[in-house]
Amino acid sequence: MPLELRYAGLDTAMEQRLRLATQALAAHRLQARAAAWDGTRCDIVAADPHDAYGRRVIDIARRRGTPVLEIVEALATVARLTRALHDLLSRAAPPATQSTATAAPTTSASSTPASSPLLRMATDPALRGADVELRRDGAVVWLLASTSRVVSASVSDRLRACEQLASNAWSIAAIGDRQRSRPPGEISASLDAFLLMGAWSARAHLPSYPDDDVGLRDWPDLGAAGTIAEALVVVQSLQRFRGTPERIAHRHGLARTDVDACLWAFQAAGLLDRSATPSAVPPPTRPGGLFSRLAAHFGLRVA
Amino acid sequence: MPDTASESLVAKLVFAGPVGAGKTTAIRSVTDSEPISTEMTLSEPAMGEKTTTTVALDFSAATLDDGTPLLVYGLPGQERFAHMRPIVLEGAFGVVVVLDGSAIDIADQCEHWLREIRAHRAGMPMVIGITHTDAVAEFSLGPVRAAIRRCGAPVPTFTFDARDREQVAHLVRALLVTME
Repeated sequence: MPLELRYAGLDTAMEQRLRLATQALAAHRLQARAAAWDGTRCDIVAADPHDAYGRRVIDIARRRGTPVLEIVEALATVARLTRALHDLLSRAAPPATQSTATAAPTTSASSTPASSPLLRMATDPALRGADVELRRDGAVVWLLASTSRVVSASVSDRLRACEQLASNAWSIAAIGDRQRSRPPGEISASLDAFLLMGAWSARAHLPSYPDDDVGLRDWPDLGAAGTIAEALVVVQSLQRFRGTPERIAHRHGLARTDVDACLWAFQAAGLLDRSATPSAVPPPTRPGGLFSRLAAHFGLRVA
Repeated sequence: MPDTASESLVAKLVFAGPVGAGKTTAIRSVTDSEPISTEMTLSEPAMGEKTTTTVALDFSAATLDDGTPLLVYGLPGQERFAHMRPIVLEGAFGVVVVLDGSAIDIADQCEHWLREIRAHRAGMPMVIGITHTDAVAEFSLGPVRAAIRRCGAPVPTFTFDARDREQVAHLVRALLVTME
């Protein structure tokens, strides 16, 4: 599984250098990918300590115990960034993050409790596709399948619920009719992206998705889950062909754990359809070499 | 399109959608330069914070890694410029339809733009981006998804912030994935 790097407070040129340096880590047998800070947990943070936003992100990362690389003038080249990232990650990263030439999809024994909100939403008939409420320490987050939205009083409540979606930290219950007039707040975001990010962050510990033939009728709303390009491939595969998790993983060269996380999230969102028929519309002809260049420009890895 | 695009030395992407949805903002987010816009002060009452509107089209450009120009056009949303749509859409590898999540007729607008673009080319790759959803407590994706189903083939549909470069790029990634 690649290491997740988040950056903050950097100008465009430094962002580009950091992305290149992240890719260059492959020469050190380290798989990593970089994205802008979004508040979710990650493996390393790179930020400008001279930028107010960067300083704030550094503070949060240090409180969480996340390794921090402060981007200073001395790290102005890709080579120096790569070396600095490698040094920091080598001290902090567990051996499992080292890539190997024969890496195969791994499925560890699940440590995700069946009572976690994610798995309950996916498997409990009373909760699947329903509007539910998560509660913890006075914080309340609504997950509304009816509108595909998640509502909370603050962004931090939502992020915390997302990070702990596959744990027992939050209780879950269906929203009663009397409660509907009293939403917890006015912060609204995509439910599909919330569930996917929650499942994705716990994908090493989720149970394997059952070997069922499934499809998708509607595209999940993944606009806020831009760091998970694999989900786009899974969705497109499910729209074109029905498939089991193993078949999807094999067809697209994805890790089984990645596919499982997507399927658990889509099932929790009420989007998976065991009766969906594949789209009858043939795919448009893609414009050859131009497609590869566009994919590279927009950060889409082409298998 | 495929023959033209594969032989073309440029890539062309179009942003379409109604007035005020955020096309110009999205184009600005995804290209290297400020879009050339033909804007005028609104002649009708201002739409919230919006006081100008694009009266012809937006144009901006980016450069792919190998130097290939990526030309990005914004289709004007007003119906009086409908005659320009075939011209602007010609040769595009895909279309990003930008809709305003606060519009009460968003489902009708979605259906209108899908049919409008497919009338030009049936298999045109498309993706739908919906803005301003964070400010609308009652927003629901349900009606939009139903409208898409009425129009035929599924289309990636994401809520997004047009000011966020990464989110706009993710829309384009979804567009590209549908072309694989």
